[in-house]
This record gives sequence, C-alpha cells and structure tokens, in this order.
Amino acid sequence: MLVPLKWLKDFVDIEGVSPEELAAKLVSCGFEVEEIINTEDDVKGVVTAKITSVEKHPGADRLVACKVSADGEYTVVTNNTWLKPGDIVPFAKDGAVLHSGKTISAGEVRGVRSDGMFTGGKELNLTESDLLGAGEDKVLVLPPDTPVGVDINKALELDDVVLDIGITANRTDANGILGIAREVAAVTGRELKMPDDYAEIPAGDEISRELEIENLAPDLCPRYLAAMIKDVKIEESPTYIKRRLKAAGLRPINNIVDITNYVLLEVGQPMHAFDLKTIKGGKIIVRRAHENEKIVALDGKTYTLNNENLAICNAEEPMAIAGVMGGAGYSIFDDTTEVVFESARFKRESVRRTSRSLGLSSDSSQRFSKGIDYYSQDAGLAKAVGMVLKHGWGRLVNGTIDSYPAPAPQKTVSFTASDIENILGIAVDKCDIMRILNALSIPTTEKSGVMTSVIPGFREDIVGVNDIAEEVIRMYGYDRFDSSSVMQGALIAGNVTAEQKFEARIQEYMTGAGAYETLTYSFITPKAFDMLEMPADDPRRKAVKLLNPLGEDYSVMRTTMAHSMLKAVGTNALRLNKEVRLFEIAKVFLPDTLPVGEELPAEKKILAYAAYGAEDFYTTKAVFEALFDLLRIPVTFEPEVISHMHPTRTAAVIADGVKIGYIGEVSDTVSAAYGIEKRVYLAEIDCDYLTSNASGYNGFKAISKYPPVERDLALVTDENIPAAKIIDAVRDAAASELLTDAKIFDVFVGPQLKLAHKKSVAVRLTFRSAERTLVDAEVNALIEKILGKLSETLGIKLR
Amino acid sequence: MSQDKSKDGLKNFFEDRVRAIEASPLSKEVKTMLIGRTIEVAKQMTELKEHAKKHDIEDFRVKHFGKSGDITAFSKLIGAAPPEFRRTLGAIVNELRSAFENAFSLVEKEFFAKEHSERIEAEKVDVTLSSDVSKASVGGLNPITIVKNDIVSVFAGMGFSVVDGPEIEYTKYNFELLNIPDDHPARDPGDSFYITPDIMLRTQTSCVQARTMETTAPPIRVVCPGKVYRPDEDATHSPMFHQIEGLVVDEHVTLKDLKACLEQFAKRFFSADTAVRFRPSFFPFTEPSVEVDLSCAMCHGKGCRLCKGTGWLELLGAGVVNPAVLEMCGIDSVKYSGFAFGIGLERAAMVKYGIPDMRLLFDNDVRILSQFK
Repeated sequence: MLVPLKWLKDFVDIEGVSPEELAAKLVSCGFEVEEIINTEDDVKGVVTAKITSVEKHPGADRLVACKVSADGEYTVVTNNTWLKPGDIVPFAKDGAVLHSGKTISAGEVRGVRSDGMFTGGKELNLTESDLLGAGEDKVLVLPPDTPVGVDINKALELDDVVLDIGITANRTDANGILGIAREVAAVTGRELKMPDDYAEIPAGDEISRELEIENLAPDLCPRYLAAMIKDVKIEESPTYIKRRLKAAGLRPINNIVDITNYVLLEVGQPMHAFDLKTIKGGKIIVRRAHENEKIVALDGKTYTLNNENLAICNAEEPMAIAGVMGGAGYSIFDDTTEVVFESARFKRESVRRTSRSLGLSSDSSQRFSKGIDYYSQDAGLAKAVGMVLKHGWGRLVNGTIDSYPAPAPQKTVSFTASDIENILGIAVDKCDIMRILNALSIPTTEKSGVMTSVIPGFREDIVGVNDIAEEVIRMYGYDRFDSSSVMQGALIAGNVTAEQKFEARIQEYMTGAGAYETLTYSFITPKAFDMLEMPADDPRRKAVKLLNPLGEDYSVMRTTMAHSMLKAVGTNALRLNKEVRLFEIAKVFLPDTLPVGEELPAEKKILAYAAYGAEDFYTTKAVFEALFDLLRIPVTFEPEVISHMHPTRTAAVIADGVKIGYIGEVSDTVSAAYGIEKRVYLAEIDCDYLTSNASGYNGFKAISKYPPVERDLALVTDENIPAAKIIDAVRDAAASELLTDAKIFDVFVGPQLKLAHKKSVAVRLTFRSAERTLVDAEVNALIEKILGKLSETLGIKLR
Repeated sequence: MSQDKSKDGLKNFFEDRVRAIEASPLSKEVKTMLIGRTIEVAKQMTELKEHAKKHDIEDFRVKHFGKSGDITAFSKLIGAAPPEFRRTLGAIVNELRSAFENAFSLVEKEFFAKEHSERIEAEKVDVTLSSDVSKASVGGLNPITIVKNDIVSVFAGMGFSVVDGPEIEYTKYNFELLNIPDDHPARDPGDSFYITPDIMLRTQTSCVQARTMETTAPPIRVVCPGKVYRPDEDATHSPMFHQIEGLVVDEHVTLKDLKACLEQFAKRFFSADTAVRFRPSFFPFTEPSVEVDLSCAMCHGKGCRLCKGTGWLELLGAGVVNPAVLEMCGIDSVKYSGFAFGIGLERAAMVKYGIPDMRLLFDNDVRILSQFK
C-alpha cells in the first residue's frame, strides 16, 4: 500500500513529524513500512529557468545558445532552436540526475560552453496528463506563472514522500489512505479530521423512480448500494487527482472514472460507474451469470461467464463482472450525462474465483480479494458523490438504492482491565486502555470497572477480548514488558521418544561414516520413474500428484529416495567433486489408492545413502553393517533385483524375515541417465523400522577370562554357495557355544585353483570357553565335527 | 660424560676384582687363571659396550653366561678346589659372577636404550603432512538439521517435548482449526499446494499444534520441527522449507511468558547478550500476534549488512493462542490459555551461518555441505 504523505495530510495533521518518525511509529503499531520513497529523489538538480536571450551558435546552424536566468545566470546550448526569450523551461544543471538515472554535466558544445541542458517532460517522468506538452519529445515549456529558479519538484508540486506500507491480512480496513490515517492519528495522538468532500446523500425516492435493484445472489453480494448523478459533465480531472492516481500507478481517464479509482485508493472501496442509459429496463439485477453468457469487458476482450461468476446485469444482459471489471458498453462515455455509482460488497472468495477462472485481474478484484468491510460502501459512495458536488460535475439525485438483506449487527465487546492483564501478563491502567481504544476510533466507555467497546464497522477483525488486548498492547508498546520476566506454568519434563533418539543417533553415525546430509525436495518429476527404469506396473509409480505444482519437475510426491539421491550425486559429479558420500532421512509418500481419496497417504521415513569415489559394494555394505550393529538390529543380506540397480551387485536387507531396504550398485544405464559416469552405490532403508526396532543397552554379559583358540580352515566349495550360507552351516555344524566367532577372511576363485566352478574360502574360527582354557583335543573334535557336516550338507571339503 | 664415567667405572670395578683375587690366599695358578679370565671378559665387555649389535649381546650372553659359558665355568672350579680353599674361592667366584652379571645388565640396558632412541628418531613423521586417503572420511549434518537440533535442545531444556505430524495434511488441520476460514486468501492455490480440495501439503507446522491439542490435555509444552511447502521460489523462498513450531497451553499463560520463553531461547541459541523485540503482527491462530526480532547476531545491535543496518533480525512469528483455536481443538479457553511460535529454520541457518541464498541450502554440493560439520 503506497501512502503519499500529502494525501494523508487531508485527514491528519502530521506537521512536525518526520517521515522516518512516522514510519517508526507505524512499525511500532503493526504496520510494516517497507520503504520511504522520496519522490524528489527521482529527479535532482533540475531547476526552472527563464530564457533571456537566444543566439545562433557560431559554429552550427542547428544549434542555439540560450542565456537563462535561474538561481544564477547560465548559458545552455540546445538544438531546440524554436525556443524564445521569456519561455520558462526545466534546466538540468551540472550534476543533475534525470529520471533515467543519467547524470548531466556541463561542457563545451562545438566551442561554446553549455552549463547543462534543457529537458522535456519524459526526462522528468511527466506525461501529457501531468502537464500540457510533457508528453512531447522536445523541451517542455512551463506555464508562464511558474516561479523561476526553483527546484522543478517544488515548482510542479511533485515533491512528496510516499510510505510503502505492508498491511496484514486482518486489517482490510487499512488498505486505503483513510484507514492508515486512523492509525496515524492514534499513534501520533493527533486528531482524525474527515475532509469536507464526504457528502451526505439526502433521503428521498428520486432515484428509485428511475432505477430499482434486484439482488438474486445475496450470498455472493451481501450489500449493493448505489447513488445517481444527473447533468454530469464529463471532463478531465484536476491536477491533484491525476497526480495522486498516477502516483498509485493508475491512469487518469476522465473525472467520473477517476473518482471511482480515487475512492478505491482513499477509502479502499472499489466503485463502479454506469451510464444510466445503458441500464436497460431501469433495473440492476445482481445474479449468477448464465452458462456461456458473454460480456465484452473494458479491456476489449470477450469473456464467457458461467454459473459461478457473479454478474451485475440490466434487465437484459450482464453489464459488469461483479467486482472484477465493467462491460465496455455500459461504462462512462464522453457524452454520458447520467451516472450511477455502484458501491457494493462482494464476497472475496467469489471475486477471487471469478478473477482466477477468467484470467482477469483488476485493482478492484485485487481489493475485493483482500476483503471489504460494511462501513466502506457508505463511505465510498459519500466520497464519490462528494467529489462530484465539490467540483460541480453534476447534480445529486436524492435517495439511494440499497440491497442489504442481512445488515451486520452492532458488535460490542465488554471486558475488565484484569481480562487484559490475563492475556498480556502486564497490567495496563484502565485510563490508558480507554484512551488507546477511543483514539483508534473504537468508542469505549466504562461503568463500574467494566469497559464496553462499540466495534466500528471498519474493524471486522475485532471479535473478542484478545483482539482488544492486541489493540491495547500495540499502542501501549511491546517494549513495556520487562525483560527479566520468567515463564510461568506447570513443571513438565521434556520428552524425547526412543524413535527420535535413534533417528538422531543414525544421523550422527552416518556423518561418522563419512557421509554428508543432503536436503532434497519431497516432490519430484514423474519422469523420475522412467529414469529409474521402473517397469510400467511398478508400485512405486503410484505417486501422489499435486493439483497445482510449481511445474512438472516438482509435481509428484516421491515414493522412493533414489531419484533425489541420484540427482544430488549428479550435481556433485557434474561439478567434478572427486568423492562423495551422501545421506538423508526423509519421507516418501505411499498412497493406498490413487487418486487420493479421503485418507491421507502413508508417510514413511527412509534412510537413503549414495556414494561414489573410493567405494565398492563391500564398503557400502560395511557402512550399513556397522549401523545395524549400532542399533542392535540383526539383519541378513540376500541377492535382490531392483529396476534401477546392478542385477548382480545388489542386496536386499532382511530383518526378522522382512525386507527393510536394499543396498548395492546403481545400474550403469541409470547412472548415465543422471549424468554420472562413475559407479554409484545406493541404499534405501526403512528408517521407521530402524528407529522402532533399535534397542539400546541389552543387559550386562560377563566376559571370559580364558584365552581364545583360533583355527583357520581353507575350504573348497561350490562357487555358488554364498558366504552367509557357509558361515551358517559352520555354526549349525558346530552346534556349540564354544564357537564364539566364525568369519570368512579370504575368497579365491581362479584357474590356479584348478577346480572348475569351485572357490576357495578361508574361514577363521574362534573358540573360547567361559569356564576353562580349551585344550587342543576339544577344539580338534569340534573341527572334525564341523568338517564332517560341511562335507555332508554342502559338499565342502578341506583344500 | 656419563658414558666415560661408566666406562671408567667398569674399569675400576674390574681392577678392584683383580686386586681382591691377588690378595686372596689362593694358589698362584688359580689366581693367574681367574685374573686372566677376568681381564679377558672385562675387555670383551668393554668392546661390546662400544660396538655392540643386537646379536653380539646375545652371543656374549651365551658365551659367558650360558650353560657352558666361561663365567658359569668358574663355579665348577669350586668343587675341584682343595677343601680349605673352597670357601674363599666360592666367595670370590660368586662375587665375580654376580659382578659380571650386573655389569652385563648395565651394558645391555644401555644398549637397548640407545637402540630405542635410534629407532624413535628413525620413525619420525612429518606431522604437518596429511594422508592421501580420503579427507571425506568424516561427513556432516545439513545446516538445517544442525540448527533444528540446536533449537530443539534449547526448548527441551525448558520442558518441551518433540512431536511430529504428517506433511500431507487435511485442510482441517492446516486451516479450519487454525481459524483460517474458507474464504481466507492463504487458502488460495497460489499460496498452497493441493492434492484434493481437502488434502494438501502443509504450509506451516502449526497443523501439529491443532493435532496436539486435539489429543493432549494441558499442560502442553511441545515443539514440532518439520518440512512445510508453499509455492514460492527465489533467493529467499523455497517451495519446500522447514519450520519449528512451539506451543504452550497451561493455566495463566500470557504474552509476557511468551517473551520470557523466547528471550531464553534467543540467549542460548545465539548469545547471552541477544535481546528480543516484539512487533505487532497478524496470524489467524494467535491473538495478539507478534513478529519477533532478535538483536543481530553479527553486529550485536549496532547495525550491519546482515540486519540491513537495523540492528534487528526478523526471525519468528508468535502470539497468544486465539481462544477460538483452543475451543475448536476442544480445550476450555476460560481455564486455559497458551502461546505459540514458529521459527523458520532456513532463515535461522542463513543468519547463523551467513548463507546468502536459500537455494544453497538445497544445492547438496559437498563443498557446501562440508562447511557446517
């Protein structure tokens, strides 16, 4: 919201308050001042100058040298040879800065010194509507009564300070100069004075003899108010109106249209003006449009309406898209003599929907979308009519037409000073409360300690005591809380759940394992499923779709972390980072049904890991084996085939008979799809399973004080027997708690073995008793037993 | 010096031994033999001491002290000597043997000490040189996680528990129960991602407030960190970002308590001199609502580039829980009151680490990630 201080001064005297002070005060009471714009900063160092003589340039026919009198005597060389003595022109002196940002410097033009240059309107950011001739591409000749030697901003009254104020969503009333003025009055302790051009419309039936209102959609239009002006003279608006509209970015058109825009800016009420003769049948009908009803709007385009769009119609057809834009055939024309001003409240949601569905936005629709209060229809109409009367642009017809089927009840809020204290935690004196509320135009009285506020129509945001407390504290000052205050309340012990604790532990562990935690978006491109080479019927293709994504790349909720991790890996590979280990714990979204019905899709946390560089399958596996050990979750690994993974270098991770994830090498074609030439290792593990099945301390176990006995066995096995199976078989065969450890420390396959389809496996067995030192005979017997069983069950022999 | 001294010591020691033998009543023949051997061993020991290698030490031990060593052989002389000399000879031989043993042990010790110090010198490493093995052997958490952990631990210390909620959420929890009516602009598809008209990506962790109040009786003190989603993307906005929501519901909770709580947080999260400033603001689910500024972590309020010269950083929104929200969530708003706050973690991380562009937090280049461990 742009608030020019000159306009604000129509309502409140801010003499002696600097723009900076005013901004600080507004911030203190809840109005963010985003910028203080000094309009004079746009053009600097340009003064008005009167030409005293025009002489031919001695060295160039197309140039003249003008002597001018400004704040001193100067010479200016120009190609505007038509200038004559007595003309008053804008003169950019040495060092002047023009609207374009260009800096002017004095110099010599073909041997004649020039102290600067004359400017046209464009260089000063003026248009024809500001000043006659300002739109032309030549030096601007100012009116003869312009003071000479004065800064151009002052001379043309362009000097102003504009505050750019952010308005919070609850304060719809502050989206106008008037609303801001109320706050300024309250926060500066000055009086709010209404200008004299808010007219009272005399009661009567003159209007209703010619015009009636039929509101068929009170749910979308809770109020429709209109007044009528006759004997209208359509003309150009005076400078102050045009300037104020222009400052707000609106284009001046004619006095009546300009009034509607002016009221929008000042009161915050969008207005519309109809030419009475276009209201066929003398009837304004507020109704939902018929399906496929068409209207040519003021922008010249034809819009096809539907039953959800509210239309303002005459007896025959739509004249306007309610709150969005008028129809081209029903507005104000140069020959218009009778005007109907509409000041209505349309439901913000209705205006917003219509605006969006038609792809048509206007200042009016944007304003309606923020919400309009019931006060503004009357105030807006009073201002519009008042402006007409003030400038003698027409005659006001008595009476209004008004559809207001359910008038808003007068709200009051009663409270005591201690109610306020119970919310704020600090005591504010009753007198201060009363003073603050009344200054905010919230009339408040007190009787035996109970205060009652009558909530004005423009403060629909105030519904209860908490709102009153906020009004009080934002004016009383948030700096009134002493900073040594302590927090009250019951003593509660904070709780971290086991799941949260284990998740944090996993994260810490992963960093210890050399991995950096990434942050990837939950939404991915649906192309990901093809990049990951998923079969057409892969359940992971069943992803939740966003109705309104920020583009296809972010349009479905991920069902796998693989895409996100490979993208992160791809980023690093592309930037030639040599070694990368990444991890992330984040959610995947797994809908039961598609499209999503009434149930929320399941959300599952996944621990994802991706790495390249000094990695292979076994280093990746080692990272996870240690993790599962840390969490005390026993797992096994089995060969697994997953579309995006290397078919013979991928394992399913199985815990308690359930697949909880996979680890392995990414298939080379998939890596290539992500722009990665290196071998990439990837894992996805069900993190919810890990955090809910992890266990901490398992109880104390005594340690053996007797020495272990280690034996290495070199075995020859069938090459297809997996390591885990051999170890399991060894343990089964021993069936003894004396065998405390069995692990494979070497595997060898190759022609040197001289045995086809066999491999050599070196197994290290550790035996230990908790009760005694083992003797060779015992261990030897166990080894015999193990070898016997291995041979029997798996055909494994000693090498 | 010490070496010379001990060398002299050895010499003196053997001279003493020789004099003792000469003074003894033994036969000249025996005396000559003992003295001859003593001098010979002493000579060898001196040589050993000066030039020994490890195997020389072992050889010497075997040659002189082994089962058939010559010093061991002295003892055999005792049995062979005439009975009247046995005692004298025994005393001399035993003294001589233990003297040799002591002397050898000194030589040995000295030798090993010397060998040890030579080895230490030879094993010297350049401690300023690094291994060529991967430097990435320690990873690190994302700055968002670090900041989240830091914030959670501050509030955990104040008795807050950590709660979680779904990221795909009913509009009921994201809007209705937070006093955001149907026609509120925040519901616009331009401001929220929708999945169905009633299901959306949560735009704020405040949803978890409503879920917590629905299921938990006061007193409530929770924080809920998590991902939230809004359709914005530029240097200061990401379509997915992180918030941490705090909620306290109890008897007699006021705005003043909110300020006290956030002051504690600010002092612990940034530094002890961090000040907190409230500015009025608006959120539908709190009333009164405030923007909370913290004095700038970089310039401590003096004004710098980070705080754009204001001395203050806008870091969170907060307020007294709107009684309408309490009632909608089934909590008696006459008996109980509460406060809530929401912190943007990206903003907190950017302030804490001086990160200039929010998009860098989602870039995932290890050269960035490795800066925060």
